[in-house]
Amino acid sequence: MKTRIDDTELAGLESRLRRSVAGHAPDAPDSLLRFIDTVPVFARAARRPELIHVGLRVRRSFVAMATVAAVIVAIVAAAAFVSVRNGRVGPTSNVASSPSVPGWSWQRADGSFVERAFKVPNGYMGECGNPDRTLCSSPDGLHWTTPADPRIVSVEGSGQFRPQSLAEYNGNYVAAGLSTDVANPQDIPLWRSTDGVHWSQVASTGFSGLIGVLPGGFVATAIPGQPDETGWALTSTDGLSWKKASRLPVAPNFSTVGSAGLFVGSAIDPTKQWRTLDGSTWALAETPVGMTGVRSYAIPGGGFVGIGFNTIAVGDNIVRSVDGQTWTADQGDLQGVPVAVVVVGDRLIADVSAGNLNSSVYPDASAFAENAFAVWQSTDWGRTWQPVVDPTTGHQMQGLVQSLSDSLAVCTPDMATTSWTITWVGTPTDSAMPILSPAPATTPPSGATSLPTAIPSATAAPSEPAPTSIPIESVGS
Amino acid sequence: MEGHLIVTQQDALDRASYDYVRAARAKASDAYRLAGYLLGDATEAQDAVQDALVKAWQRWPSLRDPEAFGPWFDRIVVNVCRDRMRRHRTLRMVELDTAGEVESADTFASMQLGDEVAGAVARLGPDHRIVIALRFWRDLSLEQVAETLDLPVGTVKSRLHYALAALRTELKGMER
Repeated sequence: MKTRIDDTELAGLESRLRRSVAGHAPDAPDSLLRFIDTVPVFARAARRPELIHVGLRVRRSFVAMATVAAVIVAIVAAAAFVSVRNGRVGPTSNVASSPSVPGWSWQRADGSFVERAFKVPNGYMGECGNPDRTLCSSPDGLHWTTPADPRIVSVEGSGQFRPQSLAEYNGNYVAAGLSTDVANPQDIPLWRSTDGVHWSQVASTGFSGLIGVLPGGFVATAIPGQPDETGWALTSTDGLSWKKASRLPVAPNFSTVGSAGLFVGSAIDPTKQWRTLDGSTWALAETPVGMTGVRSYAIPGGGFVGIGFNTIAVGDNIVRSVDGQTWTADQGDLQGVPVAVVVVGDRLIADVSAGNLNSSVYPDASAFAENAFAVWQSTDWGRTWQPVVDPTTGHQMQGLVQSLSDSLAVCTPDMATTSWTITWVGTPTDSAMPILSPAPATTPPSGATSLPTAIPSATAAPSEPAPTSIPIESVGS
Repeated sequence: MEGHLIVTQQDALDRASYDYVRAARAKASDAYRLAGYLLGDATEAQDAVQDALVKAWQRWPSLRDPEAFGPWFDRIVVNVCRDRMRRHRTLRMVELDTAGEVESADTFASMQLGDEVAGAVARLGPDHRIVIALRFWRDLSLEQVAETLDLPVGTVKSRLHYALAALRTELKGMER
C-alpha cells in the first residue's frame, strides 16, 4: 500500500509554503519592545512612575489587565462566597466537611518521571526519564526501573518500543509506538503481544497511531495513501492481520476511540464528527459546539460519558450521551474547568486549577506553583464530585493525575526540570459506582451547559464504497 | 531609546529583570512574526506576544538556562496563540472594498489575503496551523518543532502530515 504523500507534490507544496512568507517578516514594533522593559517593573509594583513613559497602547493593556484582574477577583470572591455557603472552601476543600467521601488506599511512589504508563498483566510499563525517555516498568506503579524488567515487558527483535497507546482484545495486545524514522514520519510503528509481556513490532506501514477496541475487535486508523484520500479505518481480531474496513469519511483533524465507538472529525467543521461501531459503517454525530476528541466510557446500565478537549473554552470537557450519537456538555456539580479528567477503575477523576490554565499549558510543571491542581473524584460518572484526600494532611490532594487503569497516580512538579513525578499511587477501596439510569437528569445540575439535544438522523458518510476485506500490504511479522 | 530608561536604572532592578529584558528583546521580533503568522493580524499578534511576555516573566524563575529562552518562550507564544485561535475560531472577515486598505496596513493580513497558500493555512485548525508555521515559516527542524511544542517527534511528524494533507485539500477546493 502506498502510504506516503507523493514526493513531488509534497516538495511543491513545501516550496509554495516557504515562498508565501517572503516579504512578510516585520520586526517587532517599538511599542512592543518598550512593553518588554516594563514587564518586570509592572510585576513588582505599580508605584514606579517610569510606567508613565510607555506608549498609549501599553498603558491601555495595563488598564485592560487591571480591569480583567478586578473582574477575576470579583468572580473568585463571589465563587468563594458561594462555596463557603455550600460547605466548600476555595478551589480545594478540607475533607472534614465531606463525611461521605469514598476511600482510597495510598502508597508513596519513588518519584519517577513516568509518561504514559499502561497497565499490563505483570505490572505497568511506560516511558521514564526526562528529557530522554526510554521504556521502563514497574511491578506496582510505585517503583519504576529502567531498563524495563523483562518479566513485565520484554522487547523482541529490533526497534525501540515506546508505547503511546495500548489496547487489548481477546488476550491479544497492540500498542502504538513512536516513530523514530525521519524519512517516514507518518508511519507509526505498531507493536503486538499475545501475553502483554513479550512485544514485537508488526511489519506494517501506514498506521496513524490511533488504536482501540470496538465490539468486533481492534480498530486503527491509517494515514492516506494518496493526496486525495482521507485515510482508512483498519480492523483486526488478533492485532497481527489487518484489513481496510472503510475509507475515513473525512480527513481527520482528530480521531478518538472508546466505548461509544471510533470518532473522526475534520478541521472544516468542528461541530461534526463521524462515528462507527464496526469500522465499516459511519454515521454523523452532532457534538456540543467546540467539543472535539471525545474519549468515551460506557456507563453500567446504559449511556456514555465522554471526556474531550474543548476548542472554545479552556480545559477538558465532560459530555454525556444516551446513544453515543448525540452528546450534551454536563460536568455535574464540579466547579471550575478541569484541566484533565481521567478514569480510574469506575471513578472519574478531575484536576481543577485555581488559575486560568488549559490543557495546552498544564504539562509545564512550572505552572503548578501558581495554579495548584485540586483533585476531585466522582463515583456517579460525573454528576456529583467529592475531593480526593491527601492521606498525610487530611486536605484535598493536589497534583496532576494520571490513570494507571485500576489505580491513580498523583504527580507533583519537579521545578528543576519542570516535569511531573509520581508521588502517590492510590487504589479505590470502596464499592463500584452505582448503576445509573441512562435517562438524563430532569433538572440540570449546576455546571451543566445548555446545548442542543436533538438527535440528528444518522447520515451515511459520503465515502466511496467501503471495501470490507482488503488485506493491508505487508501485514504479519 | 525610551524603553532603555527603565532597565538602565540598575539600582531599581535586579539581575533577573535585566536578563529577562535582554532575552525577551532579542526574541521579540521572532515571537511577533510567529504570532502574526498564526493569528493573521498585527494587532492580535502584538497582544498575544504581550500576554506571552507577562507569562514568561511570571515563570522566569523556572527557566534554569537563559540560553534556552528561545524555544521556551516560543512554546509560551504558541500556547497563547492557540488559545486565541480557539476562542476566535471565526475567520477574519474583510469587506472587499477595504481589503486593499488592510493589505497595506497589516503585513500578516495582507499575506493571508494575497497568497492563496497562506490563506489556505489560515483556514486549518489551530494545531495544524501551528506545525506549518513553525516548520515552514519559522524554518525549524522537526526536532526543534517537537521541542517547542513539547511533543514527541513522531507526533509532530504525524501532525505535519495531516496538516499538509488538509492544506492540499483546501487548495484543491479553491482550484475548482
